[in-house]
Amino acid sequence: MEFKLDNSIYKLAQLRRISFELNQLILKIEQNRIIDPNYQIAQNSLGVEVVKLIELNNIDINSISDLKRLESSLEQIGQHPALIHFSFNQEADSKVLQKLVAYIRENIYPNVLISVGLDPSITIGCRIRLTNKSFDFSLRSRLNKNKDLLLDKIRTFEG
Amino acid sequence: MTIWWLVLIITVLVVGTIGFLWVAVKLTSILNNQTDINLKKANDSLDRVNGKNVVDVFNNEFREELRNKGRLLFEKIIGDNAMFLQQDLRLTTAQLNDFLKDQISHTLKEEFSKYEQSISDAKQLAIESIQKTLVSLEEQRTELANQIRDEIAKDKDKLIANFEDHMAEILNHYIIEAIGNQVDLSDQLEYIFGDLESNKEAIAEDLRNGI
Repeated sequence: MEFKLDNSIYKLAQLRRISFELNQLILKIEQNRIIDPNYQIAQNSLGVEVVKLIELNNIDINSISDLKRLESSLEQIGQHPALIHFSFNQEADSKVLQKLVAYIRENIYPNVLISVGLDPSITIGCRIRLTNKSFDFSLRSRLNKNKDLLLDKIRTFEG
Repeated sequence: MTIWWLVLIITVLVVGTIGFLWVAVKLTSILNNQTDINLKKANDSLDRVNGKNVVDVFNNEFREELRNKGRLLFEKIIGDNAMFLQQDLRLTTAQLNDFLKDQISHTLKEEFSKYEQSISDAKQLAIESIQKTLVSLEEQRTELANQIRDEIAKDKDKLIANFEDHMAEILNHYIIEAIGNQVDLSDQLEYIFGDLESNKEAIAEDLRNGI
């Protein structure tokens, strides 16, 4: 089954933190199972993001192999992340970013991670920066592209 | 010229008058001599006819009578000639007046016509000069108007070009000023999704190549 990231996990730092947490969880289970082989970890002792990740990927929380597989997937993503940097003109709250990430993962590329920056010169829209390319999705860029259209409309109105 | 004519005419008249008077005096003396001669002849004839003493017939009284008759005849002749002279003088004076009048009128008319012509010429020159000045001014005005029109058109084109070049910036700033703080990111998501959808292939390829 293909590994999926929950939409609440969209930053590389989050991924690394979750990966560390999983690693700690695995160690804890392994250590406790030395003493008690039937040791079971409670789900409510885990972080919200870890829980969502586990539920999304149908991971058995007490299966070390599953957890290790999950950890490995996270590490793989973390080593070669599909990272998109977004620049907005204002602070983006997490809900908006989650919607954005959800759209990208569903329509463009799975398991994408994003980073966010501020650019006051952007009125509406955003600019994105990839590994080798950048795209300007700001209103200024669109106005520049459609300048001829606007001029035609103005001339039609004047004429 | 006319003054000389006048002098000449007056001189002729004076000379004529003097000549006439001299002729009159001469005639008078001749007449007197003739009267004396006639008296003498008459005396001689009477002497011969009558054989009388001439002194008895041509006495002083008869001589005096003859003299008076001669004097009266002479005075009458003088008077007639003086009258004729007076008439001639008057006629000549009238003719002279008319001649002077005509000459002066003619001269004055000539001078006035020359003066009028010179004024007319000066007026025409002034009119031509003014017309040339007007034409020149009109040409300069037209040229200046064209220059101003061209400058205004150039400035207008420059402004329009400047506006067209920076239209996106202008609109961007306007939108920022107008509604910059009121457009939430969540409202912009559809706009962003549209752009992402348009470029999804390129984005996906770059993400794959990056990994």
